[in-house]
Amino acid sequence: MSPTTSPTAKDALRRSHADLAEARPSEAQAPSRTGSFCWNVSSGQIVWAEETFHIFGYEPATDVTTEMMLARVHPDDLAVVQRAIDRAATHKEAFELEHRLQMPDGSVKHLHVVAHALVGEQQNLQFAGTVMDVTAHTETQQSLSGSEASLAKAEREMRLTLDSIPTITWRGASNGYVQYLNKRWFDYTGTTPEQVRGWRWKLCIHPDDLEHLVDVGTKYVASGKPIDAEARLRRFDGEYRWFLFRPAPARDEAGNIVEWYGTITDIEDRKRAEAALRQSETRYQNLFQAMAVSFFEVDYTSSGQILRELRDAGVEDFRRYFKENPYFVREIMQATRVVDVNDQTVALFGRGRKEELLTSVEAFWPEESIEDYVEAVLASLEGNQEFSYETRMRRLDGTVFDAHLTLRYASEDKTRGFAGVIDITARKQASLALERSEQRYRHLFNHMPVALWQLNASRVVQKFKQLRSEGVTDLDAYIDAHPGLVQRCMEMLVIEEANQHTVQMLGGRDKSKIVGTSIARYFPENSPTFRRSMVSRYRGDPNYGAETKLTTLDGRVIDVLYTASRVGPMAEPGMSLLGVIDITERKRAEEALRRSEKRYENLFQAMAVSFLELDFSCVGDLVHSLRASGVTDFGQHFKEHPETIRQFMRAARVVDVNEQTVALFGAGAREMRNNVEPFWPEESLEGYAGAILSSLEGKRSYSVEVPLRRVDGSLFDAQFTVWYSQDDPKSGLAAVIDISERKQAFLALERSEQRYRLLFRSMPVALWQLDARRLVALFKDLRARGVKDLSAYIDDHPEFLSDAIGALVVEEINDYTVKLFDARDRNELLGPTHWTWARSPDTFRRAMESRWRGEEFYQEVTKLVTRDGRVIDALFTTARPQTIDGLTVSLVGVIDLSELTRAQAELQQVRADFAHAARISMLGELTASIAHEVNQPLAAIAAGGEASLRWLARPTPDIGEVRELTKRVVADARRASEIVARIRGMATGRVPQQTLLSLDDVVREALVFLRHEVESRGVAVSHIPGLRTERIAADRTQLQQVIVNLAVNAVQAMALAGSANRNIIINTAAYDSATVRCSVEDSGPGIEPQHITRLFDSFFTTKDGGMGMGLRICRSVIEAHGGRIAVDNESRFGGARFFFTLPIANATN
Amino acid sequence: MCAANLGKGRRVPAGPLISIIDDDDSMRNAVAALVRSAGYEARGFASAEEFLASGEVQSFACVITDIHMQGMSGIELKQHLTASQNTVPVIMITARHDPDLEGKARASGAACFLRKPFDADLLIGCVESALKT
Repeated sequence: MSPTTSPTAKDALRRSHADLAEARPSEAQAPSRTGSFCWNVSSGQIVWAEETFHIFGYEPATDVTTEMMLARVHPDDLAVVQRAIDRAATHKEAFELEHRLQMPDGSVKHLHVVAHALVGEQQNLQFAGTVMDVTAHTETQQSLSGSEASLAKAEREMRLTLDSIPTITWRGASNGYVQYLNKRWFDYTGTTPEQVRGWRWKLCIHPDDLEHLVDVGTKYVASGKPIDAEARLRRFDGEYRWFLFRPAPARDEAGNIVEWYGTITDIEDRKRAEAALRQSETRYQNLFQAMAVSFFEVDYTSSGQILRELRDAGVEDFRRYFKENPYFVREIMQATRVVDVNDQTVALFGRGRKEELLTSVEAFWPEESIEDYVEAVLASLEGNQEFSYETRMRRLDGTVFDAHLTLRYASEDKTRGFAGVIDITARKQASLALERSEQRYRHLFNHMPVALWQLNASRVVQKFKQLRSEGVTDLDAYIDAHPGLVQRCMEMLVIEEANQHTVQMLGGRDKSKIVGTSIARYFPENSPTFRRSMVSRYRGDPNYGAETKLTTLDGRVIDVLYTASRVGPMAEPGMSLLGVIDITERKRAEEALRRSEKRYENLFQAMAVSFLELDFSCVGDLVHSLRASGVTDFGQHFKEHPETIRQFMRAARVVDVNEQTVALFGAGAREMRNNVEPFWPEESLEGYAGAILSSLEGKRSYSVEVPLRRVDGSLFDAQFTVWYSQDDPKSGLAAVIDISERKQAFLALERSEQRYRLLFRSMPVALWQLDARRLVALFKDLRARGVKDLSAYIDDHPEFLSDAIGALVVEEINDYTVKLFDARDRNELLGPTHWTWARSPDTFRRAMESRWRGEEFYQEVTKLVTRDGRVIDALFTTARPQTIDGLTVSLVGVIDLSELTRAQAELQQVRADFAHAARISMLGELTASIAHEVNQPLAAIAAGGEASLRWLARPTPDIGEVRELTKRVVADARRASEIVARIRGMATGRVPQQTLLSLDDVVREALVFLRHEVESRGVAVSHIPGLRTERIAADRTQLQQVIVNLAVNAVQAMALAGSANRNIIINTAAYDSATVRCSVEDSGPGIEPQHITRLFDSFFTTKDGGMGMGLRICRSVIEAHGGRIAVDNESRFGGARFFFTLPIANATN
Repeated sequence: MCAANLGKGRRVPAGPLISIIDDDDSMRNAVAALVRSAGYEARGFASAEEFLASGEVQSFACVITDIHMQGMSGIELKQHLTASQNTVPVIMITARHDPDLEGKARASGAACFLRKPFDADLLIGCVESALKT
């Protein structure tokens, strides 16, 4: 290699020098031990700077070769260097590497090599770069690591640990002068130890937070209590992040702070999450408050517990259980607490105060919605997380409203949930109004006649032509200038044809009064509606509809909806069709239902009549050709060749249809159908044949109800009416009305009628239909003779009853009657019914009196005699439906009660036997108590009597003393007999007697029986009467029995369990406005959970020798009184609690 | 109040004062009448507590008490009197038929034990013998 280097290499070297000069001043090359080089790979030429020669240990003049360079490379690094150069040459890319040089003197140098790849014009590759002698640096490092090795192992590990933990750690002097910060600080802040030495660490703290941080430190020193501080720390890129500063002081033995150790933890993400959460929370809170839905947050912890306990107690069928024990539903409600509500809830339910609503959910459920609540509970038990339905809820002021309720559990364990309530009263009422309105209009429409007028509009058309030729484009403006035009046009529009409805509507006797008149006769003068219609027509709109008032021929003013449309081929523009519908009724209805107007209009549009204008030109040809081929009887021909009907259909061309046709038959009806055939399904062919035949017979119109086909292929029930033009046999008009609804209603009626007929025949009830015409005549005759009181009349004329029976003739009976009345066939039972009334003439008499009073219905349980003379217990019912031929038809139903009566009697007997047995058994248990009660007055009587005898035996008998004593004896005797009477009442199976009484009185009386029993067993009984004295209608003895039974059970349970404290509380209280509740609570062991559900079953007992009838009878008694009885273990003494409710008697009872 | 009622129509000269304790009004009145017809003076109390609270316990020569009453029983009354060194004779009456009741009554130191209804002569005999001791 020559020292005179090629220009290219020189240039490169220059560039390289320039690069270096940019990076470092060139004079700094030597002191910095950096030399540059350039290496042309293609030619192998290498150029070195002077310093480079020094680094490699060569004389600067020496020619440089690759071998020279590689000779110095440390043998251990040779492979690395070779690989780096090869790769750089292959990929023509820059390279950077560190390697060692082995100098001739044996010393080792560390080199850092950086090179750029330069590609010249001839694609020759050169590298230009620098070599830096980094030996000193490397050695410093190595010596540093050597000194580090001398550090105590523990401290090094400590430092390593500190540097590697993701938290910044620091150590400082007692005055806050920082002595150590771990690597993470420098990594994070991008500072050097010098920059933050001492107190300068504060420079990295956000200025706004510094004071706080220092303040916390001061407080810490003052109080000695650890305090955390949060402050922002600047990152190397200038961004501040939040950190938690947690200092810990190291103290000397005297407790003075010697040093500080601390951690600084990045909490930016947590802070952000917190902020986001707070924001979200606020948002949700706002949402919760502001939503137009009432929200409840509900705590289900306790109610869930109750349900779990019930399940643990063996309850499987919760639905049934709730039905039988409605208390539990209330209990569950009471246990379900409202935790929070939103403003909407306060507005919807409350009286302005939110606190009032944070109660149990029971407050919001009226009695009528309990079942809905049960459904929700059941849904939750079935695992539903969400449940939604409509129900009625109660406000705090007691009013009830329609609500849409959504319940959703907020947590998997179902302890929390949300309830959303929407007041749907308005919506419900609106939908009811809509429904009513819809019904009303459907009805209206079904009876709404459409009057059709065919108008000769040729003069108006001419007038329009003239105006157009005069250049009038805006007719509205023109009329403003010429107001007389409207009236003139009305006068020019002459009715050429009108239908029967028109005659009815306008009040004429026949259409002759109408045809030939101008419409001005009916429209108001200068009718603005008509004016708009004209303008629309002038603009070229095909039709126009509006409401207006018309004056009829007889002077009435009616509201009408009229639709004006141009009909006929375009060649005859002078023809106009006006459909007029009398909407006077509708207008009136609209007044009442102004709000439903929109709905009505839609409905009206949807139900309007579809019109098709038809051209029958080709039909005539078809008729001719058929006649020519010998067909005379077209009806017969259609039957034999139904395909001919389709030919006729195709011959009936559709000229035009109205909007309603499109609406009725579907989009495309106008374009797709050029004849009527596609509208007619196979099953309606006969209907169309009828239309053809009627036309052939010269009839003017024909109407038939048939299914027709829409464009989409679906069928609907239609009334198809076709009118044939009298003047022009080739044209006609067809109207189609969708009667699906009407048809379905009719079919429903038909089905219903069939069902009733079938019912009549096959019901297991004897049914008679009687002809009462002669009876009606008899009654009429009596009334004509001035008879007012039929009962008195019958008393005077007993033979009347027989006449009346004779005047009621059985016309029709069902199969069951034949069977029940032991008849051989139906005929045996037709005619008068004297034979059946032998045992119960009074029933017949009462039925007659009922009819006389004009009642439609009479019923009583009686005995009827069959044809065989057998007597049956029967429920006799007679009805005189006025809807059927006045009062001339009577219907009688006889239900055989014989079996039922017998079964009931037996059941009653069995029940009475059991009840009696149970009472006796209970009385046995109470014998001691009863004996004590009777003994007491007896002893008093004996003592009093003895005393009297002694007073009398004195020489001067003390009559006053004896009188006093005798009075007491009599009173005691009465008291004893009352007790005996009460016992007898309990012991005998007498018929229950309902009287109005106070539940508390009954409790007091029952306690008299119990006194001995409870005293002898050391039980303290207290009776807490209700605040008010609601009266109940009940049998005193039966209720006493229930209370005695519950109390005796409690006493025995406590005695059996050996309870130390034996307490019973009998408490009565109003449960709600309609119910009183009595509870009997004891301090016994309570009821085993698995027994709770079976406790009231017959023959279930946990007592040795118990009959298992006591509670069963209690339940029968309470339920017979319309109440409910239940048990739980919620006694205030921790034992069992039995409770029952009874309905409060109405003031009127 | 009961004591006041008993004062009515009293004609017999005052004899020893006897206390009648029974929570049944008519029984108490009947026993009092019987005792007075035998020439004693009688005062009635509706409970043992009322008797003890009268402040005149010392003035009675004999006590006739029902055993089973609300609150303190007749036997407990006797035990209470014995404990407070009061030796007034106590005649006990009961409407009960508990088998060991008489044993308990006698053990407590009852002068007499009678079951309702009792023979009038028996009661008067009890009172007479009680007053002799």
